[in-house]
Amino acid sequence: VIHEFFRFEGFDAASYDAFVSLFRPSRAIAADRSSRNVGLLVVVVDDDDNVLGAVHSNRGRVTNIGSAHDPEALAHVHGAGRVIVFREGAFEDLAERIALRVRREQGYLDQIITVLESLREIERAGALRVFPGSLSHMPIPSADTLRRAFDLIASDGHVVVLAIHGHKRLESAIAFRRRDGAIDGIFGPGRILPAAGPLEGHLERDHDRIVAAVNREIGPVQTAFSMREGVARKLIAQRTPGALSAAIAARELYARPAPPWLSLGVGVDTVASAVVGISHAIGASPLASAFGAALSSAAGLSSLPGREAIESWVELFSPRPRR
Amino acid sequence: MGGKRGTGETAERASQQLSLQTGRPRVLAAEVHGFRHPKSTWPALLERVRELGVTHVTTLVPWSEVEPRPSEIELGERRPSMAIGEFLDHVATAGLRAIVRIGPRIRADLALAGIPDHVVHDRASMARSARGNPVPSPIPPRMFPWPSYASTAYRAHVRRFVSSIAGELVPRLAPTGIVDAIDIEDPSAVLVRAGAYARDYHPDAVASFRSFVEHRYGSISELSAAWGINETSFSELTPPTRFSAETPRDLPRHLDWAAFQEWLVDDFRGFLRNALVDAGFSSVSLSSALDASAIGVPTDASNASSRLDRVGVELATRATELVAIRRRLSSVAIASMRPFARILLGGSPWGRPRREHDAIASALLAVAFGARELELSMGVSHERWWGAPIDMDGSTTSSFESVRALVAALTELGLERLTTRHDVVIVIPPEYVRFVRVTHLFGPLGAGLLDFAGRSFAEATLDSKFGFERAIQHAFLDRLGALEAALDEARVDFSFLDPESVRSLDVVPKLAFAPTFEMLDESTTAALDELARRGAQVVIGPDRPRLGHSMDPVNAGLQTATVLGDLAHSDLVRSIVEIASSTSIAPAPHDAASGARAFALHAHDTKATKDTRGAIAGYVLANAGDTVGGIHLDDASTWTDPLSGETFPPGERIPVIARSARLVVVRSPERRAEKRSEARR
Repeated sequence: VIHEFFRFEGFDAASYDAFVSLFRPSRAIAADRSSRNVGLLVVVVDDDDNVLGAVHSNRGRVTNIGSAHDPEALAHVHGAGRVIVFREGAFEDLAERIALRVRREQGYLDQIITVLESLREIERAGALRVFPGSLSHMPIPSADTLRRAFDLIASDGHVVVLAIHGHKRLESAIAFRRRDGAIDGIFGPGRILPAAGPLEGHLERDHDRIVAAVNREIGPVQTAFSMREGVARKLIAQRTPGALSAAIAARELYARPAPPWLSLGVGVDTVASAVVGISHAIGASPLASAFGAALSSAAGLSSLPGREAIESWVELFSPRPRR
Repeated sequence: MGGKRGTGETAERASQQLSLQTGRPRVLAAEVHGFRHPKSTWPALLERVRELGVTHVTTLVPWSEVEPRPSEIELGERRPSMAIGEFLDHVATAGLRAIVRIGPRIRADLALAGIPDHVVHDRASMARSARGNPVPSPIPPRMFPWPSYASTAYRAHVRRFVSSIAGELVPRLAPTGIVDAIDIEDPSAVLVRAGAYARDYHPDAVASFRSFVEHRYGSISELSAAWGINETSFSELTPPTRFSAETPRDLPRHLDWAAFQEWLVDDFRGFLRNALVDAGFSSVSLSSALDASAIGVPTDASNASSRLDRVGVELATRATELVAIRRRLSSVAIASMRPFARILLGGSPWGRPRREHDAIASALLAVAFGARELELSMGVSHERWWGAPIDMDGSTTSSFESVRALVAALTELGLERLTTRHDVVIVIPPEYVRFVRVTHLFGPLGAGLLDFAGRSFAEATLDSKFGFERAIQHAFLDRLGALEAALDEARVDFSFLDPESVRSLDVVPKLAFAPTFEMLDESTTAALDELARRGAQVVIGPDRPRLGHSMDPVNAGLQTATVLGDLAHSDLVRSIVEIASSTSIAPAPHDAASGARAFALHAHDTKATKDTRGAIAGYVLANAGDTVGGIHLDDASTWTDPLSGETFPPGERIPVIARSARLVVVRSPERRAEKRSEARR
C-alpha cells in the first residue's frame, strides 16, 4: 500500500488540523456514541473457558465477567458493539504465525493479508470467537483484488484529489499519488495551492484550477472531488446509502474527472463511512480513515471479484449500535 | 530537590572516559534532518532556523542511509546530502551548536525504523520469541523482525556503524567543536513496553539472564529457595516463557525475568557508551529520551541518569494531557542533571493528530514539570512530516511565530536556571510495574494493538490475586490513579520518584506517597526508609507490606510510615490536605470551577544559592477542562504572558482558555531590576 519512498508534504499545523477536523466527530456524535453499545470488548479465557481478563476499547479494564460462553450476551451486558473472545496464548500463536510467514520481499499490503489469514486460522482452531459474525467463513481479498480496487480511484502513476472549501477560502486539499502499485505521495495545500494561484471562492472554477495545478505539479489526475466543508462533514458522518450520489446530483459535490463507477452509486457511503467510523471508534489516525474510505469506496462500487470479502471485513470491524 | 546523577557514579566503567558536563548550558534546539534536504538548501534552512532564536540544531545520522548495503558506507560521496560533517559545518557557520542523534534504531519515519535491511534480516541479530522464532514489528511501511539487543551479532553491527561515523563526528565534538551531545536511542520501547514474554529468548539474551540471576542471588541454593525450584546450576536455568504463577511463591522467577529485561536496557546503554568511547567519542555528553513504561512513568530514570549526561522524554502530547506529561517527565527531572523534553511540533502521518497549540502547551507543561532543555522536533519539515514551523523550501509556516515567541520567552526567563520544587512525590515501586508486565494478557502484539485502540497496555492484565488479598496488578494502577486525583484535588503539586534515585537526592521531599500492598521489594522498602530517615514524611498504603521479593515475611522497615488504607476519594483528599498542612506544603493557586491549575517556576538554582524556597519567576497555568478558567496568583505582582504580550495587573484573575496552557512571568519592579542586573553581568 505504502511506497518505500513515500512522501507526505504540504501540510502545516493549521492545514493538517483543518484536514483532520473533518474526521473529528462532533460533540453530539461523540456523546451519542458513548451512550450506545459501541466499541470492542476483548475477553481472554483459559482452556476451560474461565475468564482471565477483559478490556473494553472505550472503557478500559472490565472485571467480574462471569462467563464468556456467549459473546452476544457479553455485548449486551457490557455495552459493546463487537466482542472478541480469545484463548490465552492465541495472540502469541498469532505472532508466531506472522513471524514465520511474513517475508522480507513482501509489500505491506501482502503482509497485512498474511496477518488476516493467520487470524482466520486462529479462529478456525477454536482459539478465537467473534461476535457478531465469524472470521472463519470470510473470504480474504487477495492483494491483487485490493490493488485493482485502488486502480479504480487512481491507477499507477495517477493522482486522486480532494478539495474542501470553506465559506470564502479553501479549507483543505489533499492529493494521493500512486506509483509502482503503492501510494508514493500524499500532498497537502502547501504543495497544491501555490501552483493553483488565487482562488475565487467559486466551487466549480476553483475545482478546475486545483485539478490543473495538481496535473502540473504532482501528476495526472484520475479522480478529483471538490465540496463545501459542510457537505464533506455530512458525507463523512452519514452512513446513508446513496448520499454521495445525491450530493453529486444536487451539485454540492464536483467530481471531475470522475471514475466510471461513481455513476453506479451503490453503497459507497455506507462502506466508506463505516471504515471512517471504525478508525475513529478505535482512535486511529484520520489519515488511515481516509485511506480506508478510499479503498472501500472503490471496492464497494465495483463488480470486482472479491469485493464481498473487503466489505465483510469492513463490516466486521464497524462499530454498530446494539440491536 | 534533585537526585542528580551523571557525575561519577559509574567510575568503574570505561564510559568514565567521557567528560561529563556539570551545570546546565542553555539548550533550545530545533530538529533538522540534513540528509533529507538537498545540500544546496542547507544554508538557507539553517539561517531560518537561527531566526527561531534557538541555540542548537538537533540532527540525525540514520544508520540505514549510512550503510545501505553491507560494507558500503555513504557519507556524502554518492549522495551529497549524506555529508554529515559538512552539514555540521553549516550549522556552525549559522552560529548554532548541535546535538546529534545516532540511534541506532533511529525511527524518524524511516523504513525498518532506520536499521539497515541486511542487519534486520541477519538471523543472528533477531530477537526471539519463547518458541525461538523472530518477533515481527508491524510498523509501516514494511513489517520487519525486531533486533535482539543482547545479540553479540547485532552489537557487532552497531559497533561497525558507530566506527563508520566517527570520522565525521569526532573532530566536531565539543569542546573544540559544536557537537554538545550525542543522543542514543532508548531500547525500552522494544524491551520493556511489551508484555514480559513477548521476547527476548535469543541465546545471548538467555545467557545474559543466567548471569543476571547469578549476580542477583549469588548461589544456586539461594535462587532455588526464592524460586521454589530445584536447580543445580545457573548454566541450565531457563527463563519463564509464559505466566504460570498461582501463588505468591511462584512469582519471583517471573518478576526476575521482567527485572532482567530492564537490566538489558541499561546494559545496552552501557554497551553503546563503550562503543562510542572505543570509536573515539571521548569528550562529549551522551543523552537519550526515555520511553514510557507500561504505566506511563519511566521506571529507570535513575539508571539512565547514571549512564547519561542528559536524560529526557519525547512528548507528542495534547494540551489536556497534563497527567501523562507529569508521569513521563517528573521522575526524569528529579534524576537527571540535565532533564530535557523533546516536543513534537507536528508529527508523522502515522501519529496521533494534534492541534497547533498542543505543542506549545506541551512545551510549557514540560517546563512546569522540570524540563530544563527543550528540543523542538521538527524545526524544518521533511518528506514525512506535517506541522513544522519551517517548510522544506525555507518558507515559514503558520506555527513559526508562536514557536519563535516560545523560544524567546524561555530564553528571557532563563530556562536552564529555573528550578522546579519537588516537595511532594509519589514513589513508583518498580516491582509493581513488573507485576503489570508479567500479567499482561495480549501477548507480543498487545502494546501495539492497545495503543492503536487508545487504551493502556496496563489495562489488559490477568484478573487474579495469586493468593494475595487483592490483585496487585490492578490495585496498583487504581491506587496510583486515586493518589493523583486526590493530590490534584487537594491542590498539592507532586512529581514521581524512581526509588533508585533516593540515594543521590540532594534535596529531600517533604512528603512521599507510595502505593504499597502485601508484597514490597526490600530495595523499595529501603528507599522509603531512607527518605524517612532524611526527614520526609512517608505515606504508604493501602496495605502495610509483609512480604519481600522472595515472598518471605519481612518485619523490618517502614516503621515510621503513615498508612492510608482503602479510603473513599473524599476521605483520601481530606487526609492529604491534613498531611500537607502538617508538613507546611502550601496549596497551589487554582480555579475550582474550571479545574485550571498554576505550576510555579522558581528562579534560583537551589544548589547554588542554598535557597530551598526559591523566588517565583513565573507560572505555567494549565487548563485541561472544557470551560474557560481564571486564576488569581497574588495581589502584589504584575504578570505578563510573554507569548501573547498580555499584561495582568496585581490582583487580576488571569484567564486560561479551555484545553490550553499559558506562561506568565512576574513583572514587578524588583524583577525588572534583577533582569537588568543579570544582563549587565
